[in-house]
Amino acid sequence: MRTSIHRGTAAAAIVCATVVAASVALSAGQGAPVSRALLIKGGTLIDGTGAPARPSTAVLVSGSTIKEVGPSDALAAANKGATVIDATGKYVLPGLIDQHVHYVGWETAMYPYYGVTTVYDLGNLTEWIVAQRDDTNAGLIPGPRLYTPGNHLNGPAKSGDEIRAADFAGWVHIVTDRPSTLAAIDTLLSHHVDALKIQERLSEESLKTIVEAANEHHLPIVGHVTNARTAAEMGIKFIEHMYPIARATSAKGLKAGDADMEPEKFDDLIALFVQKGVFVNPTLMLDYAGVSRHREEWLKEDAALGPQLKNVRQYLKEGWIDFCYTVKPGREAQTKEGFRKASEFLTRFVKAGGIVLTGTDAGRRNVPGLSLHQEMEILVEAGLSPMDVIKGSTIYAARFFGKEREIGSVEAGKNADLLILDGDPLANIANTRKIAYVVHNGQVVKRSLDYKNPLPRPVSDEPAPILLSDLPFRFVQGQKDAVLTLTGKNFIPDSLVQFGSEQLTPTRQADGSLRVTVPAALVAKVGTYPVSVVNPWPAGGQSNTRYFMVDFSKQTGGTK
Amino acid sequence: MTRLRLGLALVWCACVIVAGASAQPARLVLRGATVITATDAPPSVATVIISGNRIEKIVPSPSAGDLAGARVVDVTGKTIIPGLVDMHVHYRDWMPELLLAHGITSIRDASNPTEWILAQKNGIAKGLIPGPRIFPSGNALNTPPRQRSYHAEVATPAAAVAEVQRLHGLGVDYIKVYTEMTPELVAAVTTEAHKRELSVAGHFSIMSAEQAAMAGIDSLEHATGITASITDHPEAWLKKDRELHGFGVTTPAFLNGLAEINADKEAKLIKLLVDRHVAIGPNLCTTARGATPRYREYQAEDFRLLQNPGLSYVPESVRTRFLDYSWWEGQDASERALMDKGYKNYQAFLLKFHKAGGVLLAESDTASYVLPGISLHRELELLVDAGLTPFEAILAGTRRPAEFFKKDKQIGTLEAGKLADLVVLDGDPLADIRNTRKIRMVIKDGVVMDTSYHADFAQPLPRNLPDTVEGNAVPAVSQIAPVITTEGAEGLTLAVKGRSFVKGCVVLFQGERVPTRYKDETTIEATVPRRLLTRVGTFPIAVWNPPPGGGVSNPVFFMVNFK
Repeated sequence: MRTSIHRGTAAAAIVCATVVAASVALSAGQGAPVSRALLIKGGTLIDGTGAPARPSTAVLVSGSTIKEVGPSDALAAANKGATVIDATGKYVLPGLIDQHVHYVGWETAMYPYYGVTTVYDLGNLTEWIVAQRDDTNAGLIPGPRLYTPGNHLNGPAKSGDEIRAADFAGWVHIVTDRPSTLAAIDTLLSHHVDALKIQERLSEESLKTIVEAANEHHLPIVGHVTNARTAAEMGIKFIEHMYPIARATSAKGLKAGDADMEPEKFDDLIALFVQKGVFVNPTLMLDYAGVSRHREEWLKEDAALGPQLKNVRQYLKEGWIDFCYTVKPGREAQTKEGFRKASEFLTRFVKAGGIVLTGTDAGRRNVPGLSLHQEMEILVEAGLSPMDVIKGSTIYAARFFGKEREIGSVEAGKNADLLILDGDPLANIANTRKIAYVVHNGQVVKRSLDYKNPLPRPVSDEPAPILLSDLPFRFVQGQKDAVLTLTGKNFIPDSLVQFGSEQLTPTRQADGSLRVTVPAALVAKVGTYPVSVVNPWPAGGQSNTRYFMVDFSKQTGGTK
Repeated sequence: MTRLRLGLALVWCACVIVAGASAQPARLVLRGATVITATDAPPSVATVIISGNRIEKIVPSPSAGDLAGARVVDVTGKTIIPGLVDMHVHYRDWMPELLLAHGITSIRDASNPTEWILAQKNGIAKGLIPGPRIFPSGNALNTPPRQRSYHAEVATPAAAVAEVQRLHGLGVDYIKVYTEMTPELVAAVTTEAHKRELSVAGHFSIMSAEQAAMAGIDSLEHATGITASITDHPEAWLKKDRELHGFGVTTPAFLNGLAEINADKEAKLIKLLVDRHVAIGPNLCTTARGATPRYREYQAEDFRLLQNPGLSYVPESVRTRFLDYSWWEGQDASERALMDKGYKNYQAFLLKFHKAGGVLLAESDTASYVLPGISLHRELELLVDAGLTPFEAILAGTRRPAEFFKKDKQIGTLEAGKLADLVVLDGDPLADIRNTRKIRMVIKDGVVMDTSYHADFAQPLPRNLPDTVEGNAVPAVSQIAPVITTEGAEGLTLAVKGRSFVKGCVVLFQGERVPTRYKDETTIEATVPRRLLTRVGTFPIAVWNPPPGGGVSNPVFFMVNFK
């Protein structure tokens, strides 16, 4: 991505970066781009609304918008000048929506690569995430359409409270009363955020103020709740993860895990949810990938992806596997029971007309883009139909954020975000991975994993490394290379060793320590050199400093 | 701190090499001064002839003999004393100039990271770092949990013995035991140390002086432990000392605790200490820092000394400690009365101990609360206030330490064959002990020391623990405003908030220094010029604090967005 491209020539930038050039013609006379219509013909349409699949249906795209949807032959005949994608034998769906991600910046292009054309980021440093959103919309950064609440809203932390990443990384407005809450909301509104994100420590006064402001400005409220029943009764429409449901359906209350759920309590809660129109986003992949029947194939799939992600840190790649696929020893039975009960709840909920979303919590915990396909697959394993989960990834997700008029289905007037598959996802949901084309904002995406964000995230949610080793021995001037062994906490596979002003690449030992060879040139001069461990961006940065001495050699100096 | 000011070191290095290589060593002759040799011989006008790094001879002035080729310095009317020894210095890398300029040619270091202090000692001995001779203990021994990163934790007698063996192997000159050590552990330490001809010095908090003496201690630092032995009610002192983690001797609490003493117990302790050859470091300049009527004068003296621009490298954190007497001045009238009484009792105790044949060692405890160098002169003055003669006070700062360390063949007195460590004074200290401050010339190892201060004094081997109190802290940045601009924007003012900013700190924009305005220790402002805002990206902003100590903060990130 060239950084000299300005918004004024955004369309031209799209030509360079993300689009098959043939779909756009430049008008020589004016230098301004004029796009021809794009016709996707011959495919079977699964439009996202839940309507039955329609064979031989064409989608006509004009600019960034779907102009018409209709019988393939008729549309083709009427639009002979259009650029054509022949989707015969293929399946046409709306671009997918991941309704729960944590945008980190290195993964932006992974979403469109996997057909995810819209994501909802659930909280981030306002200035950065808004810049990402606007730059992506302008075609300056490859990535999905992005909606975000910006900074979290939260109350002050008392001792003993859980400190969230947002707290220590500073992407939170701490508010106490109505005036401070209104001031924070004004700041967020000035950045044109798309939602308001609430956290558990807010005072009642702040919460009330936020609800009023959200209604006034037509912004959805997103966030975490502790108990699904009390939340739904208060009128909150989102339930993220299964745990608030477990707490509402188990005698164990706040201490309940999914395995403690009491299915005889499901009907009441389901009725309440359906009545109130509550969206449930269970994030099953996070909790149950380790006991899914797809575990081995997903592990292989994630591992195969690793080498292609040249700009993604090794610790993230390893972290995806640690988070999702590792079941704590001795907890297999409990985890399986949790999965069984969560599956039962979700199946009964959908049967009763409930809405299940397919958000993934992607970023640090599972693979951006790919995990949405895995989440759809695990929801089908849980008992939902392929059509249910396609709706959860398209029209329901759009509705959740009040964006149903713009995205979420293949209908005239909506944004032209399309996913064209080589296999039938209704026959096998795993076919959502068989991607032939992705169309985003009317342009065919040039799918690539090789990119670098020109505007990296300025905060890290990762802990900084801590250097614990003493460097007790002293090294004498004139010796050869010095070998240091460093022990500490929060070291990652990507950790570097900062020695004075130089960064050295260590090798990781089996016990987690880092061993590094300091070249003779760096220890040639007498001195006391600072040594620290650096976890490079987007990891936690630099550790505390310890000191390494290079002493005068025995040969140097006087006669005594 | 990377620049090595080697001019002086090289010159003196050359001297030493010449001295070693040539059959006729370079000679330095000091003619015409009154020489106080610190031996039993009375002071007399004499010529001191230095050959290489040793005193060749001291002779009556007219009979100096053939001085051809020697550098002869006429010091008629001046007084020469042996180089001074400060027996309690928390040596830091910024101290050498202050110590040498005040005639202190040897110090006992009161614990430090072992490898570092040994490296300093050796660097100084080789003439590669200007500084006093160092007698180090390396790590101090204390029980867990560890108070300081340069303490060795010993929980059992076996561990204590092993640590003594380890330190001896590394080459320390004595062993230091600390506040939480028990009689059993100290006994194990002294037994092992004495086998290896190492002395043991102790700063005690939970042990009495009597217990320490019975456990074989060789010196009581800051006279710690005497309170428990000579008062009937040491509880108040002990409670206060525990609150202060064993460092009550640096506060008025120590003297207050001595307001009532039991004369029988006092006599008994003095006898025990003298019989068992336990020396006392009175450390009056610290323990009576705000109790002496001279303290206002000392405070002004420190203030003036610290104005010297050549000493700009003295850390801000210690400057404020030197000048701060709030602990002393904050006492109410009754506490002050206790302190005054305790001070008199303490002086009387020291004098009785001295008269009974006890050994007093001059020590300053710099830089805990007193400035390096000047504080030892105050110690001598306060010993005279306590009743010693000026000559006896000088012995406490010269010969007694040398004898204590069994280095009296090398240093401590001015005699033929000893190392040429001496101080030339413009006044007679026997007439007025304050004349030890009137320093004309300092010679160490036969070399005339540079006794001026240099703002660019740079230690080639800084202490490897700048996380402790000395020097500027490494700053930390918590937030910046704004956090974003667009490419090609005008230059902007960046408000940086954090902690531990010091005057002279500089904001680094992706490593590049930008103009910085210091407001206070939590707030600074930087001017980011337009030329740094031409590229889109996310750039680290950090703050650098200057030496001593100092360093670069954590980064926070500033964004330049597409226009």
